Amino acid sequence: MTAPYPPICDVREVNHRKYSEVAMRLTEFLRKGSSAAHAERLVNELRGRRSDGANNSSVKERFEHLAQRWRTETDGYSMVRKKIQHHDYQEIIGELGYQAVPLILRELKLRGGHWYHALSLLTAENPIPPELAGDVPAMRECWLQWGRSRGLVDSE
Amino acid sequence: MKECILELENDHPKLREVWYERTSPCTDEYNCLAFAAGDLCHWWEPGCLPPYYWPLIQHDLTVPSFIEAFKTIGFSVVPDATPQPGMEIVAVFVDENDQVSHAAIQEEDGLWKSKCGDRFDIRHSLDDLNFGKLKLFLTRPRIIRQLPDYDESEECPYHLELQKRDAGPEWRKAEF
Repeated sequence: MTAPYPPICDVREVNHRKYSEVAMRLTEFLRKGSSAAHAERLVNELRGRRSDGANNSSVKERFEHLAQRWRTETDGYSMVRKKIQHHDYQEIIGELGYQAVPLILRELKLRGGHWYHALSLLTAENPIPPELAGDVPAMRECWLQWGRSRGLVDSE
Repeated sequence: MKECILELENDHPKLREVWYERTSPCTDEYNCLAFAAGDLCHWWEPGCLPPYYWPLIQHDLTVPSFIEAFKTIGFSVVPDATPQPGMEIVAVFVDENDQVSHAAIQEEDGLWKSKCGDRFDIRHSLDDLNFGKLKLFLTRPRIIRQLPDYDESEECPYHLELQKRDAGPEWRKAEF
């Protein structure tokens, strides 16, 4: 039987692919609204690769370093599309992967920031309803609520 | 000097030599396009995933598309920035790919106001910022903008967080 969707990428190749290529395919995938099961399979496979990496403490330190530099260097950009092209943002997605999600949510809670693209790519989800597009406090709250419901954000 | 001001002047070195004035706290809740449109409750930007606010279905930042978007809120193209009573003028900047990169709004006294990314709003002269090439002007009847209160003596919440973070392991230990 033919698969209903073409494979996003061969996961065996992920280690050798650049972030941008994988991210582009994920972006296209999300845009097309492909099946949730397919997205989950892909994300789980990527999670598996990433969890082989550094321990939690070094992931946290690495994330903080990258996130702080990303903020400093892109705070002045007027367009999110330019902010998310920054190498540190890409490294958080491509190298830290799903392990960064709780850290991103915490950063979002404490300091805000345009983390929505990274969260969508890493989780293959978008809890922001179309009517809240661009309402940044509401977008933030949608993701924090998403995180709380999964135990990834402190509830207080 | 406050960290966010240093960062702004690093991005726009000409501001170190000329007069400009900060007029709002730092916020990521609206950007320069929203500010020019008079909407301080949304970040306006086409073509992002997940989407931000954009008034058209067509999502791109080419100049014709941008003009169409701003037409929906009453703007039309004018040849120059000569102040007209009761009218406001928006200056539109483009990047090297001719994509809209910034918009500034003219005050009644002829000076300009810009929202600088996730930072704050400033009053400035039109050629002081390093946001790209000036491309065109748009105009519409002036509206009243409800700007957030700004107390110059207060530190930005975001930069206070950074200071705490940089304070060392004691804070880090307590926080995590």
